[in-house]
Amino acid sequence: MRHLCASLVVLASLVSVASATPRMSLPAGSPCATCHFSPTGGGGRNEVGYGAMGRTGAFDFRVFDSNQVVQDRLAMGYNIRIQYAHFGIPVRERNASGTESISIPDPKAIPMQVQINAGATITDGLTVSGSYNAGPKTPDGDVCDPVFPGMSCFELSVQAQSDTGWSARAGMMQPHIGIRPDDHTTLLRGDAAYPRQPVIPPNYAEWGGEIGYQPKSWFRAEMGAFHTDNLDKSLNQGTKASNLWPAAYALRVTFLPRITVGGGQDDSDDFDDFDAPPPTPPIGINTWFGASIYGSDQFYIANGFMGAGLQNGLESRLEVSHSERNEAYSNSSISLSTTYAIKDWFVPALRVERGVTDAMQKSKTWQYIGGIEFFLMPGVEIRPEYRVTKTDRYIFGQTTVQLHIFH
Amino acid sequence: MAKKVHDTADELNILQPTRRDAIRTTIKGSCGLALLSASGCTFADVYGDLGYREIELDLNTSQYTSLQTVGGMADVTEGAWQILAIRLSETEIIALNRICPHEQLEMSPNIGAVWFDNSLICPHHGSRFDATGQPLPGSLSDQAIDSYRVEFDAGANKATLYVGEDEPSTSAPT
Repeated sequence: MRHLCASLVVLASLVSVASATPRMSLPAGSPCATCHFSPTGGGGRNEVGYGAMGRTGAFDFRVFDSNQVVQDRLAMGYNIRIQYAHFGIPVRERNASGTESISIPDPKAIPMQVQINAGATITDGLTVSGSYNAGPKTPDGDVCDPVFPGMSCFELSVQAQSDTGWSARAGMMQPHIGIRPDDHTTLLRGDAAYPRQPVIPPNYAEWGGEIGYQPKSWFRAEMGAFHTDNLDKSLNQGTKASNLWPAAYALRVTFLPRITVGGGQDDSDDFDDFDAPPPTPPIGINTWFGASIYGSDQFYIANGFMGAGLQNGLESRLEVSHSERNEAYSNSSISLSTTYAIKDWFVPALRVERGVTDAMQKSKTWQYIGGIEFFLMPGVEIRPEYRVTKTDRYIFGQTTVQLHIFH
Repeated sequence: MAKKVHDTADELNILQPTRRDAIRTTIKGSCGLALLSASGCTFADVYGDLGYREIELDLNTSQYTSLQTVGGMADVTEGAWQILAIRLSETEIIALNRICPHEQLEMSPNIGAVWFDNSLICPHHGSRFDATGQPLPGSLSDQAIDSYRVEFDAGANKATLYVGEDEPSTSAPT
């Protein structure tokens, strides 16, 4: 009941987005599905995910001990993100006396995401999960109010997992497109000509189905088909700039080898030599590399990604993407990021991105982001960042702060 | 925060800071500084200037073919000028500043700005502006956007935009 009340309180406050944390997945050597109900990450956390994040904080002050409403059967949670930043772009202005100056939008705090989520375990290997994202006009009665065209106000999917490595899911969900980011401003899913408007928006989801196959721990593949209703909204908004079929195809292949480096061996034959130093443990490096493609008729987005994470919390990722919406409009982006979990509740992060839009005019955009993921207490994260965006038309640097409250 | 140490002899409680306390204090201080500097560390530059320009548009080039259709729109960028050209009718093209004053966001057809029902609709928060740049009732922007003089030769499919201080604006500057 307490969880339900908390969720209703969240619902009453309102707005949207989604998150997952690839930086946690890599050092641990585990896929998103280890901690989230959704295989693409984001949304509700399962018991393992809650176990990892529900106890992380500089101060171990817990409001909740578990997100299980019905033990082992039903979990509920929420994600609330308040973002403080200068939204908008700088513009040059000229006053009455002819003097030019740069105008920067005023900083403000907005609720960037207000999401409730739930996951139910029907039987072993069969789960149902979903999330709902409120929008800014939801308090006025606009129940489904996406901020970005093509966003979905909800996800809802059924997932079945067999012991043979096969899995299937169907419903309203996000296809596997590269690695799902935890920052919707990434150029990997964006447009360098218009960095504010992503090609694949946050909380993008479509009705569709997907099968997955993971015969070994180091190999996984997903293949699916999805409707293109929200993709059409994101790309076209009625302009029909990109022809789309009613359905889209999705394919992703990922290799996840674990590399072990060094480590001494205890090859002493002298069992009585108790003074011999113990063997040094090996260094485990979890890696992933792979590629994905998602498309329909004229549109496609292809991603290639690789990453490596040490078990001490250091990880780096490189991802490239290329998308075309028609013969005359394409985007290419590259993103390099690294994080280091000095403590599980204190994680400095750096990210550099470059995007190029090749359309009637070529546009280049760079993004430099440095920040700290600071988990003040279980369920409360403060993320100060410094962001520099450089386009062909302007350069803009600013400090931003995000407050993330989650359960 | 401090670690509470119990003295078994006389049950006195002594507050003794730990290394973890120091780390926490440092982090909390850093976060506080970050919050304080949220506006102070901001910098920006916009390339180009707002000097007077006469911008020629050839509607036969791929960049402006969208203006061959009534209701079609095209971005026009010159120096620091960020303009939206809109084909209003068979014989008229208008030019408006494409930065919405509400949150200084771009209104471009490439990201969903549309000309509908004789108004320009901002793709971000739905503010609406008429052909002279005036905000329409219900808009989140209460400021007008600049409009600029356009000469359009429909027969030759060419238009000329006049922007800058030497040309009178038809609306109040934002």
